[in-house]
Amino acid sequence: MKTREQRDLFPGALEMMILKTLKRQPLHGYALVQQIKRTSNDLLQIEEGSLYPALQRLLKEELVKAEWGISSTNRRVRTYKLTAKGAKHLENEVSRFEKMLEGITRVLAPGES
Amino acid sequence: MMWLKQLFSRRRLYGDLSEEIQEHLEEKIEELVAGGMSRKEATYAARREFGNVTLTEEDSRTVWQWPSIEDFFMDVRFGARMLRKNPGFAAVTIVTLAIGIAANTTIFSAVNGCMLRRPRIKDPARVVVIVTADPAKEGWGWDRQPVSAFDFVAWREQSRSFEAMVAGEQQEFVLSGEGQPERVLGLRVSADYFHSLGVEVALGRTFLADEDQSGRNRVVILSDGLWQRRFGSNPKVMGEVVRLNGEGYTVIGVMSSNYRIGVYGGPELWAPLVFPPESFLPASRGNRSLEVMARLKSGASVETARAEMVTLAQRSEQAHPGTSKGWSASAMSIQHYIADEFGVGMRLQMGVALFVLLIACVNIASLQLARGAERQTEFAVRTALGAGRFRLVRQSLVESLLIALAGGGLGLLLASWGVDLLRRGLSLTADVGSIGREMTIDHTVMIFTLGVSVLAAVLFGLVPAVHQTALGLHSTLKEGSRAISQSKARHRTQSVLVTAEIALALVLLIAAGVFVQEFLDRVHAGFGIDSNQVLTANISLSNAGYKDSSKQAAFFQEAIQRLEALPGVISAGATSTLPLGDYERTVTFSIEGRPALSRTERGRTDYFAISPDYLRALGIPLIRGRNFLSSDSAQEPPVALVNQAFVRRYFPNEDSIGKRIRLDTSGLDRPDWSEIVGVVGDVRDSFEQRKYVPQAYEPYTQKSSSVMTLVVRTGSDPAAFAPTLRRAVWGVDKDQPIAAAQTMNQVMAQSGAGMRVANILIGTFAGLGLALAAVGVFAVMAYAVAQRTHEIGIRMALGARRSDVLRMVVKKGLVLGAVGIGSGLALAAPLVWLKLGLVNDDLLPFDQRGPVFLAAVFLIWLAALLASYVPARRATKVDPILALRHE
Repeated sequence: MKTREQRDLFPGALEMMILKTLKRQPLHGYALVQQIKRTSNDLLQIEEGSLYPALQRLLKEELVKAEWGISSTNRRVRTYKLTAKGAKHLENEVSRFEKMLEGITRVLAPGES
Repeated sequence: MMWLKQLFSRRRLYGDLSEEIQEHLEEKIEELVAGGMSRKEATYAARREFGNVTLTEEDSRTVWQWPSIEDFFMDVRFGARMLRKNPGFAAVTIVTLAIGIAANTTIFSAVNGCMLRRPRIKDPARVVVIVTADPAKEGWGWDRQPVSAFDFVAWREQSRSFEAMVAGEQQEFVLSGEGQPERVLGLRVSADYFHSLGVEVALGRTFLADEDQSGRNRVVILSDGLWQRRFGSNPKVMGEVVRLNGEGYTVIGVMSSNYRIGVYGGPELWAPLVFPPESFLPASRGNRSLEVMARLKSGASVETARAEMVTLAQRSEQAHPGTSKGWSASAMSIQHYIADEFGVGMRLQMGVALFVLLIACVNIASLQLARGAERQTEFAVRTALGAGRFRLVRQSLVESLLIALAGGGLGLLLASWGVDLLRRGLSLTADVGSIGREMTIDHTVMIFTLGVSVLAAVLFGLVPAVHQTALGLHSTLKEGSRAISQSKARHRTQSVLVTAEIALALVLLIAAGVFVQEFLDRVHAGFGIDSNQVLTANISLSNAGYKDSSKQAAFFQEAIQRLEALPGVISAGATSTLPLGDYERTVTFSIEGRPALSRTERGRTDYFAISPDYLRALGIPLIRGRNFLSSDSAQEPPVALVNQAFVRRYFPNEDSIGKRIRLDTSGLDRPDWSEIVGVVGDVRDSFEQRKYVPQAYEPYTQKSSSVMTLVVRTGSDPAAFAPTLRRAVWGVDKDQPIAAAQTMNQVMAQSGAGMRVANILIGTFAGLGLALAAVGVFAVMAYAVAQRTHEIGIRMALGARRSDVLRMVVKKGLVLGAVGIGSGLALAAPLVWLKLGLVNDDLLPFDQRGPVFLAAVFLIWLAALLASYVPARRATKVDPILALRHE
């Protein structure tokens, strides 16, 4: 069993990735996981189940909305779509994250101190 | 209103979630199968990658919840279900707790009624009670007395801490006029008494500033009760003149019905307090009869006031040395003062009740532990499914809380019954009867009960909760139920609990035993009198016509003569103080020829002014010398009688007859000495008092008293003689009120009533404690036997006889009992002794306590034996075949 720390890099990371992925196109749960895994070149070990609590949180915050539909493989699926509020939230989060990353990178950068 | 929508659509949300996750897994599996895996392998792989499905679902749902509240309600629902499923367990625990809570609630209702009610005056927190205090004595109310008029006036003038200082003095009045003359309790108060306390009358006005001047003081304020009872709530009574002690008083007001300060039944009327001139002699500093209160100035506190009072008392002592030796002064909040009046007895009963509750809690904890063993698998499974430790502890505590609340509710019901019983018991005595009247179950009592219940839940819930959840997951699930049940830690805890319970119960039993021993000792000690066939009637000559002492003596002389002449009367007498009555009178005295001492250094003796036939009427024997004679009149040389205790203490090695003593019956030293003409038998003062104290008698013809009790020995039923007695007295003076005539046996019963109620209470509590402890031992032993059925089966299969099994089980119970008794004894001896010493300093010597301790130990031992014998018998009935087939 993986621990929570391994699943989640830092609080909110998973949500951010979900929002970003959904920004490109609406997806259902399974496809979403596959997409994130694929995009990250399998570098991120995500336990598939952990996606769902995160999706519920986003639903509750109304950052995404969901609709039942039929997938291309003729399967009943629930497709998640980014809301306007979600898009805005994503922007904020990403810019915050970039700032943080920049900070970390500077600290970690070799030889400049 | 988003959250509201979410709340109602949640069921659908949850359904969506489950379906979605299911679809997710399906899709994954299909993909894997398409990639060439077998369906079975694919299912495993999909699940592995997905993680814990249940946990994921739960986590996802949690997003939509207010977790703590919802979990709590779930715990409550689940807990209620668990209790319903185990009605036996639920009933035993709830009833056990109800008993413990009922005991506490009952006593608390008395505490609440007496000690916690706020006085109905303006801003009571700023009002202090001022007392004469003896700093050498311990607290608990033994160390204080009221204030003398002399000190009151001086302190009122000199103190700087107070806006006002007021005094009240209780006095009995005879209210005559229309209807039968009646004795009512009144309070003479300073003119500014009500104004300073911020009390308003319902009708009319309070006293004016100059109404405490002699001549202007014939005004009276009636209590609401008296106004209703005697005057039919007629407002026209205002301005009317009523006759009090034969003098006319103008009614100026009616007090509002809810006015109250102290605990005892309040006065029925108020009149201005006027000090007689002799009260301003320094020698009268010893006559302390004023209840003094003062309102603090802004900026002053109780502490600064207390410090000032000490200084003032020192100043008084320096100005008039020796007049109030050893006494200082103190100030305390009114609430504190009231609480102290009941302090010790009530605290003791509270403590005892708390012990019962503790035993009940220990009992429930150990029952829960036992049941916890059965539920261990349940908890293990829940842990395996991802429940955290905290969650399990909480679940367990919620169940405890349910038991506690049910127990509290039932306890409240039992308590309302207990309050009734106690009230009836207390109504036997006048002085504690008012406690009973104040006892009710009001909202304070209910909140107390709730608080105690919750506290109890934590007490008996926490240990099992922590225990149950501290388990090795693996071993529990792997080994099945039997292996766990023998967990050593659980057994140890349970043994500790049972031991504690036995120890607590033993302390209770010993405390109760000591009380009962003291009580029986007093019953069996005899009172020094023959109380059968004796009727008594208290007569208080307060009419103005009896101011002269010769008139007082003449009244009683005639009354006694009339009574003696009646058929059926064996002898009739009178005494200024009735032994075992409501109060005793103590005076200081000097012995002729011994060094002169100041008043505070002189010896003390009980004092009685009696008629010659009093001794015969009450059956007090004359040991030596002679009795008073009717010739011992006011014109003859003064004479006195003393009892044997007096002789033992003051004339140990000489003949007391012929010696002369001077009894300080008034504020001034008398010039004349009384010759001791005889020695009489010892009589006990009160039921509580064990030792005989010195007593001295003088003839009422030489030392008259306005208040005397007629004592008549009759040939037949004394109670039936009461109307005849009344007629005889009214034959002397038809306006003379007579307090209820009582037989001497009734007087004695009343004197012992307080102690008897205390005994019954503590005895009941001890009995409950013993029963609960026995149930506790029984439960633990029964449980242990049930758990060891398998082991016992093997033993018997290997040849153990039934008697071996019996011995094995009983031995364990007795070992627990022995350890409990040991720790109980260590706890009991000092505890019981300390507490009792605070209640009464006239106790049996400690070395006579042996039988009580032995009896208590024996009882507990017996209870432990019985409680383990029954399960042990059951153990011997184990059929080895059946027991082993369990495998």
